[in-house]
Amino acid sequence: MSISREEILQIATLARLRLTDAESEDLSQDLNQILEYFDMLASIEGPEGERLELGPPKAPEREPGQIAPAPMAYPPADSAPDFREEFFVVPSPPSLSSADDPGDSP
Amino acid sequence: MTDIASMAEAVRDGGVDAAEPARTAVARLHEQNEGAQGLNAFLAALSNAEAAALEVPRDGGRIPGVPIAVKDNMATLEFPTTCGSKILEGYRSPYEATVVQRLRQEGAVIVGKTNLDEFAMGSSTENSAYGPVRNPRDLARVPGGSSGGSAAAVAAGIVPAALGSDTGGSVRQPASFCGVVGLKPTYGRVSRYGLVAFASSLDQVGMFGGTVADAAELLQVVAGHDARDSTSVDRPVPEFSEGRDAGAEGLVVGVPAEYFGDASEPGVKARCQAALAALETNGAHIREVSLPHTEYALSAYYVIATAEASSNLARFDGVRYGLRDSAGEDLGEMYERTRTAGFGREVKRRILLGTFALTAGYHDQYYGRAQSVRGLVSGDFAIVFAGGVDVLFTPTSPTVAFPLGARVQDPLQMYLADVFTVTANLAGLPAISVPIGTSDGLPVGGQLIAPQWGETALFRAAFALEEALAGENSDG
Repeated sequence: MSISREEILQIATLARLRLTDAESEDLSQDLNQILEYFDMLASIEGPEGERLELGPPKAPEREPGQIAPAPMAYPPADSAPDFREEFFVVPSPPSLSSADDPGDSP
Repeated sequence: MTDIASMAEAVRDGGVDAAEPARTAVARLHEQNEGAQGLNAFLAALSNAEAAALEVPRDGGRIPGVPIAVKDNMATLEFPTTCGSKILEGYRSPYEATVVQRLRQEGAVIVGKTNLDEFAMGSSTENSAYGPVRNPRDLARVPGGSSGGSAAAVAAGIVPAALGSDTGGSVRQPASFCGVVGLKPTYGRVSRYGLVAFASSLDQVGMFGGTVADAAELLQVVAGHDARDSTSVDRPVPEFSEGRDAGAEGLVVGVPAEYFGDASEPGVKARCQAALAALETNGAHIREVSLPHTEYALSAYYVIATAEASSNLARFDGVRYGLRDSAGEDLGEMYERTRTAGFGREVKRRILLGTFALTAGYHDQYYGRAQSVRGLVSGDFAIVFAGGVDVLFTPTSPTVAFPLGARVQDPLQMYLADVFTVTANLAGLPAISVPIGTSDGLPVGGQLIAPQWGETALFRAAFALEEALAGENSDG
């Protein structure tokens, strides 16, 4: 995985930060080095070598007598403009939408 | 009279003026903190005149008159709360953190706010907008981070104990570098209300002490449910020092092979082997175990922590807190100008990393997988503890304190300083760093990790380790 200077600038816009040319150049190098290290996450497999299930761990089981959390009156999906497969759908940055975007995000 | 128990006893018995311990701490603080070779461990503190005017009741709680330092990412009323950032320069919170309130209720005197890596992002306390902190054990070296100011304040003997925060090792690693005790409690044991959020699912208030007993006493004072923090858990607070005299006899200590590979310096490994030998001599059973997903933990931690940071730090936009650069033409420009001027380089780097990891095209590749790894790391610990291990022992950090400036230009090397500590945060477990000697004259810390809510067992092991090594904390 590598990230270009243009993508860094696009991400900076999303994060409401302004970067000088020198900063974007430096940060591009830093982030690429860090992301290369993070790429080891791609190689991990599940306990029996099966495909790793994505997402957070399941909530721990409650002890008997513990009060269960109250369900939300209005699930978040009800008030979201677009919600698919347990994710809020938001616009992708233009420079990222072609590469790895699954294609169905607006 | 340098530990919490003897200070509190002297005050309670009338052996000293109740304000004397705080006045002494404030005098030491100003003597050691300032100047070109000063520690720079404090960003705000009581003046000598304010300390002279202090009135401290003798019977005011569990630790009357005991001077305590607090990391400057916890809200206090009488001192500014800057988080080591320009964006919060001079900011005064309208309320106080629960942990600070509990300290006051039990009679402690907050003598000052300690320096830190900006928004607790760093492993050397060189990322503060107010300059780096020096390690009292060697002024040319870093104290570790991000709670380096608190660690230095305890190591220098300014205060007997201090509060820090630990998101990925920010209490334990500086404790190791400065030769003091550093504790990260179970996630949910201590209220985070008033702790400025970095990565909310990982952040926990931690404690520094000159001894294991001081760290236990400070936890005793601040632990417990707080309705103002929805992640604080409502369960009884045990007496954390109850295993103080139990020793190591029969204790089952797991040694995870993954923490004893090539990552650590030879001097660190040697001190760890000596500590394990001392525990075994005192009756502990040492058992080799495996935590197979450890190698993925650091990557998972940095993906999750930066993703949460990018969200948490969105609130610093010039509207509600601190700095505002309103020279732009519209609201969006004001946000950008304020954040660009207010945040330092490491904070910007982490916000960008986190924003990137959460973008639609990369969410599964980074954040989704990191969350899965978090589950696997937690599962590794659960299996080992279910197999009869009482506590795990590892090095706290792969190295001793490194020279100031040595890693500033290499963020990945800096992140690797946390390689042994992030796992306890990912799994929400309690962990403590205890001094286990020195290597080339610099302190080495050994880390003990216990199951969730297992602080009593953790302290029993820490007391036993401290006792086993008493008198032999030196090279060799």
